[in-house]
Amino acid sequence: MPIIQFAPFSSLINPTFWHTLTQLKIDVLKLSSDSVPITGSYTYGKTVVDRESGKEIALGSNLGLSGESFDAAHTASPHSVTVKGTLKNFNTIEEFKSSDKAALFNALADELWSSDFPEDGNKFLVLTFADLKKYKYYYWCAFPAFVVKPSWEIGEGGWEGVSSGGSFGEEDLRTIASREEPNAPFFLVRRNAGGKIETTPLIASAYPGFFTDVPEKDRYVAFIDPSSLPQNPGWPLRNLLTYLVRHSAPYTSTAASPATTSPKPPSFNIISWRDTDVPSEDGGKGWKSLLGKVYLPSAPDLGKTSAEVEKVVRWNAIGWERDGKGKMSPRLADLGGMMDPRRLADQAVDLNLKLMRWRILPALDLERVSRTKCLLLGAGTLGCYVARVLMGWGIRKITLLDSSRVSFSNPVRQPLFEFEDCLEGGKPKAECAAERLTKIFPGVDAQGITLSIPMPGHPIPANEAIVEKTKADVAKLEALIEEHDVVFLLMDSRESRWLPTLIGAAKNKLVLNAALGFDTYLVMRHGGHTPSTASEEGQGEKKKLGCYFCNDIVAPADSLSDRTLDQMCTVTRPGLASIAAASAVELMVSTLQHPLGIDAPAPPVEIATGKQSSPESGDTSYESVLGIVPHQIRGFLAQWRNMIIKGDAYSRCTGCSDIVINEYRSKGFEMLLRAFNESKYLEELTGLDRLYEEGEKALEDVDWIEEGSEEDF
Amino acid sequence: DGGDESALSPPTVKSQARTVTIDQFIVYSATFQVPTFYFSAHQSDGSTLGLGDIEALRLLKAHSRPDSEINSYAITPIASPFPLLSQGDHPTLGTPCWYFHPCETSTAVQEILHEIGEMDWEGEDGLARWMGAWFSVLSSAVDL
Repeated sequence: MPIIQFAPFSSLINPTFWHTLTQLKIDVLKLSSDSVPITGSYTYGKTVVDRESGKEIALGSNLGLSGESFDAAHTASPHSVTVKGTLKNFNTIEEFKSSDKAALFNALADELWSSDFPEDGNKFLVLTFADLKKYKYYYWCAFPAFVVKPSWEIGEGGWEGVSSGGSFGEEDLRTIASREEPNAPFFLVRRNAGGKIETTPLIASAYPGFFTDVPEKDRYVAFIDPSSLPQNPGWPLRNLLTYLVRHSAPYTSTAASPATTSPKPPSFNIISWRDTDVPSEDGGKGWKSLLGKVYLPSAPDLGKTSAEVEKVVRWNAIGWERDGKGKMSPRLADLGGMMDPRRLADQAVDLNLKLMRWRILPALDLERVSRTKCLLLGAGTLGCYVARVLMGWGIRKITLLDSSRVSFSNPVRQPLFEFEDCLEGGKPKAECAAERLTKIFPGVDAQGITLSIPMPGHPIPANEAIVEKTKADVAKLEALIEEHDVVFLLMDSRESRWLPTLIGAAKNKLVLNAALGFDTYLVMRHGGHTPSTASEEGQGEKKKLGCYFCNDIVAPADSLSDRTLDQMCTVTRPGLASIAAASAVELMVSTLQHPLGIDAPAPPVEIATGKQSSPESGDTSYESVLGIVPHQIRGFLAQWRNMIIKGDAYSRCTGCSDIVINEYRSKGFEMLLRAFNESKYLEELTGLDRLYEEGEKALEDVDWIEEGSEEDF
Repeated sequence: DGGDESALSPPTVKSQARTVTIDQFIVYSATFQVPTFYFSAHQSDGSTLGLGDIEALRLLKAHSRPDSEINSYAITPIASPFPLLSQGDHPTLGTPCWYFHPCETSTAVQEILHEIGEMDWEGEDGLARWMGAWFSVLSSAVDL
C-alpha cells in the first residue's frame, strides 16, 4: 500500500513578527543569544478557487508567526492551534551560519522524544539573525518529526471523505464538529456501546485509556490538519503517530507483559479533521475531513521487552524547512521596503506620480520621464527651479554645472541655497546645489561640477597651459552632454549658450533653453537633428526647427511687438524665473511624451494662435498625451500673456546649421578655438557676412513699383 | 537529511505559486465620518509588497476605464476617478497600510444613491443601502 507523504510545514510570517523581534533585540536581548520561548499557530487547511482557471488551489500547510508569537498571554484565534517553539537570535551573520544547527535540532528532538505530552510533538525551532542596518532578517525554521522505518502507509482506498465511507453519519460528524476544546490539535473519537460518537482531547494519559473496551473498528484518532491536499496529511500527524505507537502496547515501558512473539504492526484509524463548521446545506461541498487507515507494514524498532523499551534510542528526526528554491538553506526577509526611510521616500514619490497616471492620464509614460538624465548648465535662479521641478517629475539623475560661488543675494531667489552657503567666500554653486538636492530626496543621483564654459567673443589667452585647460574643459563638457539625455541652457549670458548648442546639435540631444528679460521670458526646445526626419531644406513639416541662434536672423512672424530680451540681464521680476523654469521642464516632459520625442513637430499656426481648436489638415500627430509641444513659448508678464511661436532652422545659423556642425565634427577643438578667438570666424564660416551683400543684391534685382521699406535684417 | 520518502517534496520554484497574504480592513474615519478601506500585503517571509508588486497583483483596478465598469444598478456609468491611494498607519493597529483617502467617499456614494433615486435612507435599512453603495464604489477600484 502507498507510503504516506506528509505535507511539511511552511512558515508564514507576518511583518509584525520582525517588528517585535527588532524591538525585543533592542530593548531586551541586546547581544544575548539566549533562547526565547515563542508560539506559532496553524489552522485548518484551506483551498481557494483560482478566478481565472476555476481550479482549486491548495494553500500551503502554514505555520504562522506574528508579533503575537512573542506574547505569552496571547490567546489563540478560534479554529487555530497554538504551538510552542523556541527562537534563537544570533548577533552576527557568522554566528548564524556557523552555529551548530544539528546540536540545536537534536536537543529539541530529544525534548520531544522524552515528553509525555502529545501536543509537544508540534514544537518548533527558529534561528534568526537580524541585520538592523539593512532591515534584513535571516531565518531558518525547523519542525522536527520522527522518522520510522519502515514508513507509514495508507490503507487500500487511500484517504476517503468522512461522510462518504459509511463510518460516520451526519449526526456523528456534527457531534465531532461541536466538541469541547475545538482548538486541541489532537483528539480521540470513539463510538460507544450505544452507538453514539464521543470525543476527548488527546492529552497525556488519555490514550489508550479512552479506548478501553472499545473495539478497534470504533476507535479513531483525529488531528486538526493544516494540509488541504487530498492525499497528503499534514506534518503534525507524524509525531502524533509516533506518540500513539510508543504509548500502545507492547511498546510502553509499563506494558503488562513483555512481548515474546513479534508484536502486531501498529494500525490506526486516523481522521484528518478539516472542518471548521458544519458545512452549509445548500449546494456546498459537504464535509472536507478525511478518514484513512494508517499503519506500519511491520513492527517498528522500539524494543521487545520493557527493559529494551526503556533503553531504546530515539528515532532520527528531520524537519529543517527548505528555502524558496527547495534547498536546505535559510531564508531571507528583506523589510527595507517598509522600514528603510529612503525606500519609503522613494515609494511615496513613486506613488504620487502613479496617481497622476491612474487618476487622470493612463497613457502617461512615467518611466520615460524618470529615466531621463538631465544636465543643467547654470545653477542660478533658473537652475535651482528647474532642478526642483525635475525632482517633482521623479527624475533621478540631475547634474548641475556652474562656474561661480553662492553670493549673498542668491538665496532669496535661488531656492537651493541658504545663508550659510554664502559665508567664507561662498560655496561653489554646482556642488552646493547638488548636495541640497540629495538632502531633499536621498533617492536622487545629483552631481555638481564647477566648470567655466568657453564662449565666442571671449578669446582664450595664447598661454599653452590655459589653452590646454580650455581644451580639457571642452572635452569634459562634450562628455557630460554625451552622458545625458537632455541639456538645459540656463546661463545668464547669450554667448555661453553657443558651445553647448553646437555640441547638443551634433549629438542630437534634446536641448531646452530658457532666457529671462525683466518681465519677459523665452522657453524653447532646439530642433532635432535626426537625419531621417527633417532637414534644413525641407518644407513645412519636413523643415527642421531652429535653435536659439537661428532666431537672431529669422524673426518670428510677430516679433515686432516684442522687446529684446536677449541682452545680458540680471534684473528680473522675481516670479519670472520660476514660471520660466517650470515651463521649460514641462515643455521637456511634453516633448518626451510625444512619440517622435526630439523630432516632435510644432503645432500648426492655427492651433498655436488659438484661432482654431482642430487643425486645418486634420492631422493631429503633432499632439502628445499632454497636449501640444510648442517650439517656443514667449511670455509677457506685463500682459499676462504667452505666445506659442515656431521658428524654422536657418541654414546659416552659427549654432546648429549643417555647415557649422560638419566643421565641428571634422576639426573639433581647433574649430572651436577659432570661434572663441576670432570675432569674424563664425560669420565667415556660415556665410552670414555675405548675407548683407546678398540682401543688397536682392533688393537691387527687384523692380519696385512703389516705395517700400524692408526691415527684415 | 537526504531523501526522506515520507515527506512530500516541495514543488519546484516554477510550479509553486507565490503566496501573498492581503489583510483588508474597513475602518471608520472619524474625521470624514465614512468607512475607509485599508489593506496591507505581505509575502510568506514577512516582507511587505512594494508599490510595483501591488500593481502586479491586480488587486487594484487602476487600469480599467471608468466607462467600462458595469455596476449592479445598470445605470449610466459613473465617471469616478481612481481614488487617492495613500500610505499610512492603521488607526488602531498602528501597522503600515495602504488606504483610500476618504475625502471623496461621501461624494461618490451620494452619486450612486442619487442615481438609484433611493429616497428612504432612514434607519438600519437606509444605512445598509448606503453600505451597499459604498461597496459598489469600492469595487470599482478594488477587485474584491
